[in-house]
Amino acid sequence: MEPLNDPGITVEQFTTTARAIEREVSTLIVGQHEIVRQTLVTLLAGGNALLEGVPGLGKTMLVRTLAQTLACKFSRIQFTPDLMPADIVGTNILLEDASGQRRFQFEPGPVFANLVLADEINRATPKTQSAMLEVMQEHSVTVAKTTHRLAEPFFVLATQNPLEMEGTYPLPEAQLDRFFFKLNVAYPSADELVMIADRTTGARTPQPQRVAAAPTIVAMQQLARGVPIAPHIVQAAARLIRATQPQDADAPASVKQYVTWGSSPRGMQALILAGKITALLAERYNVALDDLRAAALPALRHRLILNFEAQAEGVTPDRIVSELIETVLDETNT
Amino acid sequence: MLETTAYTQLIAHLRPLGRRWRWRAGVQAAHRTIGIALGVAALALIAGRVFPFAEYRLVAGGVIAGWLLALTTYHLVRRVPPFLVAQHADRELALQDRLATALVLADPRSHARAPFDTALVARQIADALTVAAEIDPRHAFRWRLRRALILGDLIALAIVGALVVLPNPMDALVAERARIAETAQTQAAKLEQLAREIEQNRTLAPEERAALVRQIRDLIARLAGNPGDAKKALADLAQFQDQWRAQLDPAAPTEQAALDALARQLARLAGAPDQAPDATQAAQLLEQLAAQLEQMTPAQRAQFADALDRAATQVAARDPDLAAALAQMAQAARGEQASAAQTQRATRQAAQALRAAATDQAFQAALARALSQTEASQRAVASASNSAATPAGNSAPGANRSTAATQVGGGGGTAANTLPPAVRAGVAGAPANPNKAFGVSDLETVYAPVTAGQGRGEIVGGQQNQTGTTTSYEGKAPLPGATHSALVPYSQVYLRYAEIAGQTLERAYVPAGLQDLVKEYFSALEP
Repeated sequence: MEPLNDPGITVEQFTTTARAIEREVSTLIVGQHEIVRQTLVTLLAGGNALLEGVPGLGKTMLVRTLAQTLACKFSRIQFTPDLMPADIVGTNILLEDASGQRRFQFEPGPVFANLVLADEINRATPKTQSAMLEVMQEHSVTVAKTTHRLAEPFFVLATQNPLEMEGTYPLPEAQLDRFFFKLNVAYPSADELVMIADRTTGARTPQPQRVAAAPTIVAMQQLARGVPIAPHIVQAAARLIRATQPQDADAPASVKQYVTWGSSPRGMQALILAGKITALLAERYNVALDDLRAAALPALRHRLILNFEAQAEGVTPDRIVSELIETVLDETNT
Repeated sequence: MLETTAYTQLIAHLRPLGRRWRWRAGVQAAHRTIGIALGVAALALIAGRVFPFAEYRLVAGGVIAGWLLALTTYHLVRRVPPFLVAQHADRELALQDRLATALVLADPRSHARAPFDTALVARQIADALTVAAEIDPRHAFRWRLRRALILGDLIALAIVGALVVLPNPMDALVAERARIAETAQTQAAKLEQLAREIEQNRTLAPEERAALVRQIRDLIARLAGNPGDAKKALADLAQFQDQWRAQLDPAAPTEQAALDALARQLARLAGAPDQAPDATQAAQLLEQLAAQLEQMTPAQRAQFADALDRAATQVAARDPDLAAALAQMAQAARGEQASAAQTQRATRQAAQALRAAATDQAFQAALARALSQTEASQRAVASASNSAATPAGNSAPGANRSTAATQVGGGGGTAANTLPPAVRAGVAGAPANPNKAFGVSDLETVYAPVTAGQGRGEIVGGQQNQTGTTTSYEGKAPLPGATHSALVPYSQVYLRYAEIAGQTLERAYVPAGLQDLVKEYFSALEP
């Protein structure tokens, strides 16, 4: 295999840019450092993130701020039950030119942006949700047998509210699997609440600076993929993914008891890509087991399908993944 | 080329780390497993205090030595690949897998670097080399010793030390068993010497000789295979003693004395008063004198006939055929046989009977020697088992052969029963010639009649009737001085008296100061 082309960016530039993005986002977003970091990792990996949290925690603000720092085109789609696929991806409209000739012209939908906020994605019908499948995976839209490429970088950040589940349509497993990370947005602490009040209720609202353009993000994505990873680290990731399957002989007892279906290979891809970006963010040139450890929860929690027994006993995917980290990754380390 | 150099440099950095890691792994393995080795050693030492086996210290030492050897060998022979060292260093020094990744990427034989950015690979290797160069191998791998484990090891060590240092009561038993086994071996060697002597004794009848030698060899095998069990050794000895004692004729010494007396008389008549011929030579002298009968004076013939008559009378109880042959020869010597042919026939019969008696006496002597040797072996084994004061023959199964004869306290015993063994000085019929059957000192005969009503029946010669046969009657209590079975080998007498003394010391009140005196007395008398 030939080495990758020169990404046109150095590691130092990568690190500097990433830190600048985090810094600028932090001017508006109080706390949530982990969420900011993992959102950035998702963006640099070329994936999509699903943020889950109660309303008012700054999910939309986070994406908007991110778009502002990146000087990228941003669009927001508020998912509702009556939202149609064409409302998202766009549609062909009939136009008549000056000569009176009529023709169809594709009118791009809101997904034609670099950063798309799919707010409350679980409120749309499955039909509409499925319209996002091609967009998220292929970064393209096909309308009337014509495929339209989306601009790079393309990043969907979907949110969903764990409360108010009435009238919602839980995302199907196929769509969940297309999210690189699922991030649980925690409620801010008292100090963070005070800081939020200070920043958002004052006379002036801080404005983030643009620190990176779309081409820089693409270059950063390309550089991240070139980070070396040793075979034993890849094997550890593979063992971790295998261990999520209850059919696997080496799966822990908790997986066999509570998990119906484990992670797909996309889970491992997410794990390794996230590990590479985490390594670069730490100014390191190789992926370590600790990088996998840091990425395991957001990369795997939405890829485990728990059975009824787990739901009845209140077992969460986070608990299962934490046990897997202990039994597989920590065991590898010893 | 660049990768080769980097790989070489990485290996050079990892080598001292590997040595350090191997050393620590060895110590930690010792730390984790010494408790097991000490525990097994302690079990061996405890077993040595519960069961009598001599090698318990050796086993305990062997366990610890084996553990140490296995541990040392394993850690000397064990190959520690550089990748393993790199992984351990990464983990313990929080190097975030830098060294292991660099080692894989820099390995010229590996293709691991192919999918990655060349510049990033080079920087990763350079980064790892920088980190590796900063590592001080002396502080790379810290000891990880668990206090609880150390405490357990110290306790186990203290237990093992105490078990080694504190005296073990089983040691005495083990030593005693070793002594007994050694004594049994020694006695087996002596019996083997006796068996060889008997094998070379051509006077014995071949079948009797073979049977006796076979029995002795059987006993030798049992003694040689004895692991130190005194009871078993004594039982084996007692078993063969019973067999041989059953074959031993108590009247044989009497007959031997009579034959010796006859032989001396015949030698005197033949003009060789200084000779002490045996029974076979006596037969030749008899034939020689019979041939010279015509040249003898009446007085000489009467003397010749009297000697034959006396001998006939003395052997009549045990060997009627010999007695009859000697009596006929005496008649011929007196001239009562009319024809020379009758004289010659009587002479031939008497000579044959004498030779048969010589063979019989030799067998009896061999039996007596075997018996005497087994009794000596009994005493030796009993002495080795720290119970010399109680002769083992009584404690062994089947050792009832002399009980009746030694129960002097049963009542009705003669005064002679209470005589000390020192009456050896009054030996009757002790042969002076060492070549004779009873020439050895422990086979000297002393007067030791059996207890009335309890002993074995004695056969004494009676009057001849008109048909020339001999009648006999059983005597229960022969008088002192009688020349029959009351004369027994001194060793037997000593054994009986020693038994009685031992029993008395055990059962009756004897002042403590005198107990040793009694023991010393019998030790001094030991044949």
